[in-house]
Amino acid sequence: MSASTEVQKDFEEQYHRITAAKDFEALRLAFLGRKGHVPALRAQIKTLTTPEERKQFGACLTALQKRVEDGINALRLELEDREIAQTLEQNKADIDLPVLDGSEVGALHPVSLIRSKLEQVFHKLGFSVLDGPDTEFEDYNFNKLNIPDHHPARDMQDTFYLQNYQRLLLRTHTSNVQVHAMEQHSPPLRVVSMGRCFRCDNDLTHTPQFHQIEGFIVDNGISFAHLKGTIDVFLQSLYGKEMATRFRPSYFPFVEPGAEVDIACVACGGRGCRVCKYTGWLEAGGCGMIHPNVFETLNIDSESYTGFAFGFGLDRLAMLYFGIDDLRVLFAGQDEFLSQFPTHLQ
Amino acid sequence: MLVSLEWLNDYVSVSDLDTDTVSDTLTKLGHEVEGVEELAAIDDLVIVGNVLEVQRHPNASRLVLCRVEANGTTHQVVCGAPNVKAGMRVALALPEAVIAGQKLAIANIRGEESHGMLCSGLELGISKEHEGILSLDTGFEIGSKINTHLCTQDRVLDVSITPNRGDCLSYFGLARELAAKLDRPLKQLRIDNLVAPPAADSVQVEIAEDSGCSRFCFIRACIKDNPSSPLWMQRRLMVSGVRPMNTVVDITNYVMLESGQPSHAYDSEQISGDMLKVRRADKACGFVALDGKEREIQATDILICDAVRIVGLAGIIGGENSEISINTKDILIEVANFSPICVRKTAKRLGLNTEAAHRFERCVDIGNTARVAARIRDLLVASLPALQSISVDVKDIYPQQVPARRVAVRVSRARRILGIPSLTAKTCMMHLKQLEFDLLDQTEDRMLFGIPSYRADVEREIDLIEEIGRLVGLDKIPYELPVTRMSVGLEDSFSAFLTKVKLRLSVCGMRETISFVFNSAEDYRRLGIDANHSLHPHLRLQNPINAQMRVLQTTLLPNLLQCVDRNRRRQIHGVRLFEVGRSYFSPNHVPKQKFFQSTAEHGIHMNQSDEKRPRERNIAAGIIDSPFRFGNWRAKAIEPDVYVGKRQLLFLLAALGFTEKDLCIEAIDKTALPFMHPYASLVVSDGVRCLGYVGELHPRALAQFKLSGHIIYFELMLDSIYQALEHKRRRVRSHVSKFPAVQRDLAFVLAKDITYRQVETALQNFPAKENMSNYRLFDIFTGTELGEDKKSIAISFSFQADDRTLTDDEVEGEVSQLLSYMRQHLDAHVRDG
Repeated sequence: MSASTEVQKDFEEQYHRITAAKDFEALRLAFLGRKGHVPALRAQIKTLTTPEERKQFGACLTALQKRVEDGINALRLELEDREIAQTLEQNKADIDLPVLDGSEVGALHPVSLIRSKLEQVFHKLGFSVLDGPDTEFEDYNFNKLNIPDHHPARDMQDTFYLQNYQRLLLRTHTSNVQVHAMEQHSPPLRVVSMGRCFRCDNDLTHTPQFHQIEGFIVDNGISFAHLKGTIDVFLQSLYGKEMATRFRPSYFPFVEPGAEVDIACVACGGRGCRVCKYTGWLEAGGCGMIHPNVFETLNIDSESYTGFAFGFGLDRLAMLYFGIDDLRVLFAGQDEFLSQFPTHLQ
Repeated sequence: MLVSLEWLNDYVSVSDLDTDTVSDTLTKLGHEVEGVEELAAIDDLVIVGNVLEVQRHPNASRLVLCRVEANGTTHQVVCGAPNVKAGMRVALALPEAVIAGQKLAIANIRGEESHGMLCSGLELGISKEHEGILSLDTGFEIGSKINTHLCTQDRVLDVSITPNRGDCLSYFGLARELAAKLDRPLKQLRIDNLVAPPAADSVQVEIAEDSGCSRFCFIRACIKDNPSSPLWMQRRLMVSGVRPMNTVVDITNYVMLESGQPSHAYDSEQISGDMLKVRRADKACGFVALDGKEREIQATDILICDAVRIVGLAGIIGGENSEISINTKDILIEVANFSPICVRKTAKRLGLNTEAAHRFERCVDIGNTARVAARIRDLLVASLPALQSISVDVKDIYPQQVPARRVAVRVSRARRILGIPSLTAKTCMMHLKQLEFDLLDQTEDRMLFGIPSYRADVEREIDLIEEIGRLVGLDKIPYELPVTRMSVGLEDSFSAFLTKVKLRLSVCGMRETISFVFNSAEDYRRLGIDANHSLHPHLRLQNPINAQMRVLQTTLLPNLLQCVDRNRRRQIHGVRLFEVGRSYFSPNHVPKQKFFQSTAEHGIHMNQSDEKRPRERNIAAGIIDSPFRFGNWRAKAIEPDVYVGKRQLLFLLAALGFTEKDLCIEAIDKTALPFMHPYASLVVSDGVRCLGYVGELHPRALAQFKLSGHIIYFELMLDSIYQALEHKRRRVRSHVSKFPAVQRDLAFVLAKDITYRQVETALQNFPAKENMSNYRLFDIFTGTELGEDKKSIAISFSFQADDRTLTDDEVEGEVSQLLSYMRQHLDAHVRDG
């Protein structure tokens, strides 16, 4: 009895001195090995006389053996954990080290970002997105849009003509798509088209190539109120629900009544600032009801069908959206500028 | 057009309105106000002085000392004006007065004190005179403030007039619009037919039938001299942007601004034969215009001629030979109406956008010609005290009176177009009457209006509806969304495809740029493309911005090279840019070579295939500058090579839906792409169409663009890719083996010039293939220990069966057969160790 207590005491002493997992094997062998203290004590059972004594001593030994086994296992786990933790700590990473060098992240051009955003918006409204040609016959760019030869409205759009080809030009607006669509399809039509346009103009606020979005509807009972509603929805989808629009009369030969659309200045919210020249408004695009002369040229019954059309500068919409104040930077291909944009807009 | 509100107030009263109200009202009418300038009154410290004495300045030969009486005292003023003399009434600016933005002080000029300044008309902003000082009416009270006699306080609006509203290129026209919108009376122009001695009307005017002149009025006057016009007129002209000249010319300009009707004054003494002919030019000849420049006249231009010479280009500009001067004694004033198209053709060709041409192009009111001539006559009589005689009345040649137009409008239609259900007939009628449309007839829904002669733009119902909309105000129209029938959209998904391509390229780490589609012809020569090459840019602009932007691109390479150059100049290296653009081919030079053949183009216009249309092909192009990756703390820098480009291209094609099996890789044709590295470039096709090419740029082409190093370029033919994908539906295996695969890595040593394609072909044809399911190249090695002409290719093979786990023996058996096969076919030996 006292022998087992002593062995346990001995074990507890050695046990508390252990600091490394590798020393456990020696401890286990010393106590539980074939020649260890616990088997040695077990051999003494036979020397006890009464069955009670033997039973009692046996129970003591079982308890002792369990204590030694559990103690060793528990401490081993603890020490192993401690050692793993130490190893992990030695491999501590500097999580602030740079891993991207800036060249992995791509970007879409701001005009493309606005363009795909608007494609989504107009898809939701049930419009088809059509593509048209950049080089165009004079007829499709002007004459069929109620701008005959020698009309002073041609002065509004300084036109690039192609050499050696009769009446071929670079389109001055995306409205040529109206003509193509109406020539080939009968109403109802709900179409948007986006793309390059060209005018012989090159200064701080004009580039010879620019980008437009054109939209139009031809159906029964389309009114100017519908035009206002549609443009409002499309501009609000870009600039937010609270954005105000203003329509004022203007003149584009292929629409009547024609109007220019102003939006409340996105920089100051309409209070007046340098961006809006202290007017609170920014010119955003032109629009109007499709002129009956256009319908008649394209063999669409102008009595039963009415329609609206609008055209906005994508470059300008993008500049307002991102707060870009220099038009030229859009087309300069400078990586420092381009790298600021995401690959898509929400 | 610059509009003085002080002048405008003559025709509609606006003096009680603030500037914002006037400018908002004009803008809401469709006449956008683009700017406002407030002009201050002449300073109170500028007063009327009387020059008592003029003496020489003791120390300066060009200056004089004046003693000027004003305010009960005498002021000594130094003056340099040549016209100053005793007894003159002058504008004396006292010390502290602000003149042209500058504050005066008592000054010492060459040793003499000057207590103020005698002002010129220009300094006060009331006339063109700057050489001499202003000589005032002797009736002006000495000491009184100048600003009580001469008004300069004004507000000037810069109004943009749309090309359909020629009638608004005048004070009276804009006043008419304001009167309608503000519902204020329009003050009609008075014609007084002032009495003056009659002039002999000996001039004969002939109008040729095809001359495009439909009305011609004239008056003749004899004058003693032709001095500067009255100060009030000079001031009004100046603030409206017209330079005062002399009384006669100023009156013609003044009346043009007032009424919108241009007129022209000839020196009658210079007109030979006392006759004018309006006719078409019959042959090309020279003509010296008022501005002193000689211009080429072509047959069909409309001319005003006398018995022997051309004296004017009708409706555009007069001739130098009959120009009015201050000494002119005998004048003939033409007030006529010319065809807008004829005037425009000539003015456009000669680049002469004169005020007169601008107005004639936009239609001048043919109903008003004679009244304007009478107005000019009145002003001549009133402004020229030395007038000796003038035509008693206006001579008016108007062979075919233009009938008044009548246009009907339905209220129901106006309601539907404008989207205002509550619009009433009464409102429509009221607004149209405000605009001086003449109601001729009315039924329940329909109203018939007589259109005033000045409204050439109103031709049909929609024009009247627009007028109603303008006066009601577009802001009164509600915001609504249309109710429409559902229908299937028209589009193919090509636009969406372009968006997808852009997104994929940007996700690959490339940044999108947009360039102009113009290049210089020189760019193509630099790329090694001559006139016979398929990529030669045949489409050229007639009127480019400059020579660098003369041709339309057939490849996006020149623009992207310039982008790389621009970035490198800013020390930005390693850019990866892409652009989705178009290449443009002339209809007569559509590339025929197989490589450039495109199977389809896209766009709504393609449905009507028109042989005469240029071909536009959609292209995605990318450029990768070196380094491809900068060295960093984890990895070495990587130079871009053809493999980097190939990876980018295949990655994109895979993302778009091509499997490896769909694609063929071939070497490029050196003549087709002379700007690409002949041995480090490749073409990807689907076996039928060329889908794109990629590779290193030729060092010679780079040098031509002053660039060095390795640059990768690719172009993808998006129309072909779209077409190849259109009917592709991917078939997949639904069964995957349950049993594990066994890997064996083998390194073959073989001749250096054996291509990977040869290795692959061999592996595909391996006759004893039983369980080999896959293989992957994992290393290529060359080194002296292998021998100069050898390389090692290491491939990891997988063996797998559907129905069991393979035993080692089975795998080893197949491997040893593979080894002997490779030895036989490619003389490939397995590397030891």
